[in-house]
Amino acid sequence: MKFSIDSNIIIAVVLPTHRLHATSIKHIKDRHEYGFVLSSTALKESVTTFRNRLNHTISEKIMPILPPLLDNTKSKIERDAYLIKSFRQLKQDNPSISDFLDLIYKDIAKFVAENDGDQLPSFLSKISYKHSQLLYQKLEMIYPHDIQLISLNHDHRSDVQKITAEVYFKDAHDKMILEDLMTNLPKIVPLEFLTGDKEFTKKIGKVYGNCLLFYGLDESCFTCVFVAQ
Amino acid sequence: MENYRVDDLNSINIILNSCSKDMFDGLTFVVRPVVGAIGYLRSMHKSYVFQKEIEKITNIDFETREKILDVFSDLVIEKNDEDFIRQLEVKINELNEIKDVFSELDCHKLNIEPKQMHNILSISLRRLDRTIDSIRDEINSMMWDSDEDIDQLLTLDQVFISIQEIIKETLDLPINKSKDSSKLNTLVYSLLYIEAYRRQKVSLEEFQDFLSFLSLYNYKEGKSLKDNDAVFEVLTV
Repeated sequence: MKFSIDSNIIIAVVLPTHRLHATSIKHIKDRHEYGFVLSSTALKESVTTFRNRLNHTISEKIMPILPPLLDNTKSKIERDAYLIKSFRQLKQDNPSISDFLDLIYKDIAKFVAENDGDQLPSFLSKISYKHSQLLYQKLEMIYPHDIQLISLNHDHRSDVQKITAEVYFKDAHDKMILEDLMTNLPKIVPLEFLTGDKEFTKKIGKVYGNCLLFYGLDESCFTCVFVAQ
Repeated sequence: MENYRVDDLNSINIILNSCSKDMFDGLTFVVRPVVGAIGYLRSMHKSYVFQKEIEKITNIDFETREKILDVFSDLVIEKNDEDFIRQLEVKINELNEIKDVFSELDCHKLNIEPKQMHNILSISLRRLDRTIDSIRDEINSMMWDSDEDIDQLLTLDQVFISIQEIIKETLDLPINKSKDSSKLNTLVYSLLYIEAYRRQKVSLEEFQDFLSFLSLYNYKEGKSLKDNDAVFEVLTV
């Protein structure tokens, strides 16, 4: 038996305050003896979501407070005091990311003490890039066995795409995730796919039966599990 | 080039349009490493063998360069596999503007020892790395301007960070593995993916997903990052 998860479940398992966090973790722990198959599209989508949020937090909240740090007419003590005061205000205005702001404050304070403050945007860019890779690490911690990454299998691509073309997917990623799974299906059955998206569950319901038929597999080979609170 | 309009100037395009020659040179450094190592060839008393062809490549005019990059960047839409460089070579052989000069450079390199070829590749990759440093400096300067789209600039910068990580990994490969490394394949593919984005052949969403592919490619299993749940808080914003 194998299981796979949608990008929304990946996000739920890494974010402790997510409404589906506890349920998603339980679903994965309950399947610790199953093989874990991960769609590369689902993984890329979740990393893109995570990194875009990191980047947006940097661009919207951190970057606007940085220019005074380049003001050489101010003493180092004045600039340090400005940085502390600015982050204190940011934390007050954004309590949900308070710990993250503490982390970034420490990084920035250390960087400007040792480097040219002019290079701060590049530095923050690298930090955001590295932090986004923590998502992979977190997944490996939650499921500490081999994770089988699958991508679109071109051998079955055209046949499966004829079946998925019958259903309209508003989100292109959803269609690609389903195609990652369905084009690899004979190698990964029996498979349970977990998603927190009700609409996606309905769309999958319209497609997978024809895929099973195409491969000559029976109904028990694929199940879509809607994860609710 | 029908789909590519120079007046579509967002933050990323301003940077990429201004460094299109750097991107072209960087690509030739990987595909024909001798192009980036003329100084080393001179020290080996072999520069005369390559000089004429290298000058031809260096002096390719803007229009021709753009045409070549346009043809090459079409390839990334079609394929991303371990055979990418081989497919690129097929394209090179179809382009009258460069097929002879690239072919000559390939023939001449047969006179070079594997160790020397390894050094030439290393020199060229370091030049590419420095070129990317310069582009990243431009991006860094632009990010201080609050009117710019900083989210997009961060994405572009991070694609270049990924490419620099691949360069570093390639430089660390032993002599017998560097020439045919799959990393060179990914490196060339990545440079051309940026060009495909500049020409609007891939969307911003695809470009962001490509960056996620690169970051996964560069992620080292077992090389523990500093674990900190605080970073995931941004998902609540």
